[in-house]
Amino acid sequence: MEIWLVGDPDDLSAAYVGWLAEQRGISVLGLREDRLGLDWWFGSDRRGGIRVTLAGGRVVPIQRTTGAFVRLNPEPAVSDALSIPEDLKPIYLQERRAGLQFFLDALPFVVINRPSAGRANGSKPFQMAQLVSGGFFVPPWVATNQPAVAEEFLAHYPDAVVKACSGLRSHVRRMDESILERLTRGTAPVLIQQYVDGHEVRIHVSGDRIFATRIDSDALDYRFDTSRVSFAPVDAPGDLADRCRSFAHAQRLLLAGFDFRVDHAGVWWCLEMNPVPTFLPFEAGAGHPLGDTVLDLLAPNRRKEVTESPLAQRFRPARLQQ
Amino acid sequence: MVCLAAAGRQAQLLRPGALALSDVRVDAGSCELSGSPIEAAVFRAVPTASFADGFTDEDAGFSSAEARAVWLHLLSLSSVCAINRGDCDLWFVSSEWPVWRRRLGAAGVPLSRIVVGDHVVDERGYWMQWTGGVGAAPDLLAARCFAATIVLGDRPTRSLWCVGSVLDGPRDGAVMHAGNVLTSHGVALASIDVDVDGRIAAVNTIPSISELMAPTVANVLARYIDGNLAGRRS
Repeated sequence: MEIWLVGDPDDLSAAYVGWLAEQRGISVLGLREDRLGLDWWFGSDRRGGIRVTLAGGRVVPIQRTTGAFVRLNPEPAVSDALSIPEDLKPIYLQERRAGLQFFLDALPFVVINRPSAGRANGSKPFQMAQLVSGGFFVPPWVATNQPAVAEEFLAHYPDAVVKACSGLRSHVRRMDESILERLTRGTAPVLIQQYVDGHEVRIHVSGDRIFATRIDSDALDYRFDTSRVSFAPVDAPGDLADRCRSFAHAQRLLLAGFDFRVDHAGVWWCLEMNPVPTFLPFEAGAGHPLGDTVLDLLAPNRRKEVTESPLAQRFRPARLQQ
Repeated sequence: MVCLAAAGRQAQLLRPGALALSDVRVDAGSCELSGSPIEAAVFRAVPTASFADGFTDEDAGFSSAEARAVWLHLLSLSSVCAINRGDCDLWFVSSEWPVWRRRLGAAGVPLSRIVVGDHVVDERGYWMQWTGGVGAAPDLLAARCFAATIVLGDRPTRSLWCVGSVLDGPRDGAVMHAGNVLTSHGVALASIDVDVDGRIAAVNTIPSISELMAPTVANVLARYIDGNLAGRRS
């Protein structure tokens, strides 16, 4: 039995899943994106059958493979061995990425996740519309680059945050005069959203399983200010958990991360769903065995009942210091 | 624009590079450009293009992504008659034909046979690049590194699908079948490539339109938009 780790060799989540697999005696094959065509390559024949070959000529017995865990780097490397001129590298990278996506879509086994799944995350406005259709409460928002529109929104919702409209990683900030001034100078649209006073919860969907983690932090955006942040397991309301599961599955995602803010009245406001969620901080901090549940999906014949995360066991002293 | 003006509709031309700095307001159900509601939009730019002229190199990528995110939503609003409807599966990829191949295949549309990557040198056909364009089959190393796709057989013929019918090119059963699938996904304008066996080789929802066909296409689109907007008010 074998699983594959596809894409970025330096991704920590992939490395962790690989380590867990080895603990269970499952063989792990790394297929690096930047080594496609050099260390490994694939072919799809007339009937759509996929064959993977390693440098040296060994054909990977695909029937032994039960799953692939995918993490693609937003800025993948280009091997010097190919001597591709600088000006052609962007085209090469796009071609290679598209080819890899075709490959991942064509694989006849579990892939977590296929890059073609959960694409709505590239546009927060678009995804929020989907989330509303999926039955989630989403805080009121507007996307604009016009100061007058921003001021009008603030008149209704004085406590607001500003964030990126796209899926690119960026700081969430309080809406203030400096943002209005930036809009006045002329800039691309930003997403302004009502701030929900309360605490943050991340819900991970892993197959059919749900893991909710409460995040307490003084910071507005705990992802960037980790000095005083703590994670703790929490129960998500049953109907909300069902909604998360249904939404993720409808998007063809086996692993997904939903971000919520829970207000003081107990309303769970959904901010977004991440189709490539990092789960290590939540596993280490809250003890959820997320990596093991992912591995259960990738290698169903080697399932293991894990109640506490091995990562959390190692990091617990650090957690207690927070 | 000329055809819409003839129908008494105001239209505005926006270059793709100007989108990031255009005054826009979008929320869950409505959108405005420079303070006026957008009722219809004909979007004729590759979604992965740069939408951020005037920004520094450092900021252009991010600003472009922000505009891209906003316009995807804007084109998906039911209040906007969009050509074509915003589609998140197509919006963030450099190559749309694999997406359409998957969708058309699922709908039972016959598809051209392809081989990919390691198999290409054994086959006769043309290289259909993921990022667009066609070429001669690459050598083995390039085929492996690019995961190149060879479409078997001769180059296809192109049909122009516009608002539910073929305006130019073959009208085979597979083309009509594919066109109807496109329509169900909110696509009013696209090219459909069909091979000699009547199988669909590719779809392009930002098709190039010849000077000869441009007036016809513009008229059809303007009538469609005008009818759609008139229908809302009646």
